[in-house]
Amino acid sequence: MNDERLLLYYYDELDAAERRDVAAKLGRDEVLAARYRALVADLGALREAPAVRVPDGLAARLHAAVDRAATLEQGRSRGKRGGWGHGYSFFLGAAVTAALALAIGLAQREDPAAPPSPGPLTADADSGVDAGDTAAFARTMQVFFRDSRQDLALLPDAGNGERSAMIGDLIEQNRTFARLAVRNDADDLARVLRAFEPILVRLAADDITAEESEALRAKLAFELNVMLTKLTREASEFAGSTKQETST
Amino acid sequence: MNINVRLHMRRLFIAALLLVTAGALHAQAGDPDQEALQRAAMDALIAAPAERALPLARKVLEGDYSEALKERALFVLSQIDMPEAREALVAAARTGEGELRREAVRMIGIGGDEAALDELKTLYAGGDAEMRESVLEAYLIAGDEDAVYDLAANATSPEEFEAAVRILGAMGATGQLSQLRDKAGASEEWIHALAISGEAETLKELALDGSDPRRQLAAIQGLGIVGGDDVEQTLVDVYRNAGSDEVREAALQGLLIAGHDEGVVELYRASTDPAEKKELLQYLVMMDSDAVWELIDNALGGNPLGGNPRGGNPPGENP
Repeated sequence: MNDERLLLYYYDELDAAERRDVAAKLGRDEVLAARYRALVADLGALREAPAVRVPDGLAARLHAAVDRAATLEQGRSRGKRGGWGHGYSFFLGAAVTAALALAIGLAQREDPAAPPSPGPLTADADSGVDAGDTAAFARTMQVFFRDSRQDLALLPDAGNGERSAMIGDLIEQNRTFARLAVRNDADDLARVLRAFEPILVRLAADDITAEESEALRAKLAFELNVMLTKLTREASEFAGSTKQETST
Repeated sequence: MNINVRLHMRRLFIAALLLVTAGALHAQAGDPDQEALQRAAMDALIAAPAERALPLARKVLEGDYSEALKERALFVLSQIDMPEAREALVAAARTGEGELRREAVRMIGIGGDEAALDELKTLYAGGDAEMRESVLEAYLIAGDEDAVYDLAANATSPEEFEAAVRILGAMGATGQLSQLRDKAGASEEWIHALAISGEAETLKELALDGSDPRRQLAAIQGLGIVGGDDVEQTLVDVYRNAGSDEVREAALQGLLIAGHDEGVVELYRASTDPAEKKELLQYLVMMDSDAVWELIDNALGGNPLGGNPRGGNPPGENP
């Protein structure tokens, strides 16, 4: 039974017969039950993982700033008072640029003022990542890559609100996991995740053609497959070496 | 390696080898069936050990295959930790054409190899605007703040400088941005970047420095973007001590963008100038401040200065 099916079971997305079937197998198969427990633990850890790399306060402020910029513009156009001049243009320019930077994922920074949020999978800077954390992190990333691949496959073709919302979610998740990767000293994964973002942003563009969209989705799916295979291999090698060390 | 994974990997790799042996990767580009077969071969190649995958990926890159297939080969190369893979990526970035060349640059960012990232500086120096943008994006992907700083510090045009500082802002490279102060002059893009990166200290200094009025105004408004208690109080102080209407206006706009209505209420209560009070009240309305209704009520109740209509002055009110 694959992880996708276990995930559907976890999220109660199976019909009654399928649910009974999975439950029966979980009751009989101890290995499967252990896999399911690990998956549930990963999902729990994900919920506790930092939500975004850009601090909430800054994001909210920038979005509010754009709203206020619009209000300011309305006030100006009503001609209540002249003399906004250069100041207004900077104000709107900075607000919009900043908000766009967030929207298109350029804002990659860690906020030094943000409180540390050490989730269960997050490496403690002082203690480093122990073997258990590494394995859990690898499993978490595998689940994420699988989910992303599935989400991409389900992406509606038409440029409607649902499509934009789905891509927005993907971008948000992508940032979360890039941050998680950095905190777990997995710079290689963080780089790949950062590289996904411009493609996702392009996918969300209104003017994208069906052909370009298809090509970009295929490209992302391929890159996700590569990373998934690589992670699977590394996790397996890690498990093998740990087992060997234990037995000697 | 776990037996199931090993079997799975082996199965995939054998599939890749079979496809290659059958000539799938040697087929000419353009035939949709062959293209699908080639892509399947490349997908299967994922599972190959690095030393086996490397020559096959290079073969695709150097052969007569579709751009999409070559892009996949580039990604496979970016995940191979061998000098030959890095060299192949650099070669593609140097001599490739169009989109493929830019994709090779992206892959160098993903690969994160220091020597390859260093090579990008040469490509940046000799490249057009698109190539320069690709190199900046690669450094963003790689998280190489120092490389972007070098490009900004050595920029030969305002456009180049601004593109680089925009990336530094996105990376949150506050230290590098501050170091560019002399080079930046009055660049608004630099001040935008300071604001986006959250570099409040430099902005505060610039906001209080009247030697360059244009830069001062931009910094005051940039502080609004950064926000925070300390910054908001600075904006109130800048407003109070403003030497010109422009600076006062900029501080007010900064307070608006920061959403610091308490500060504007404070200024409103302290003001004795009806024209100024009117403007501050307009700002409070725009900020959708809860306090505005009480102030309007007070003004309509015969106390145009916003004092308490039941007698006495509210805290901070001038007699």
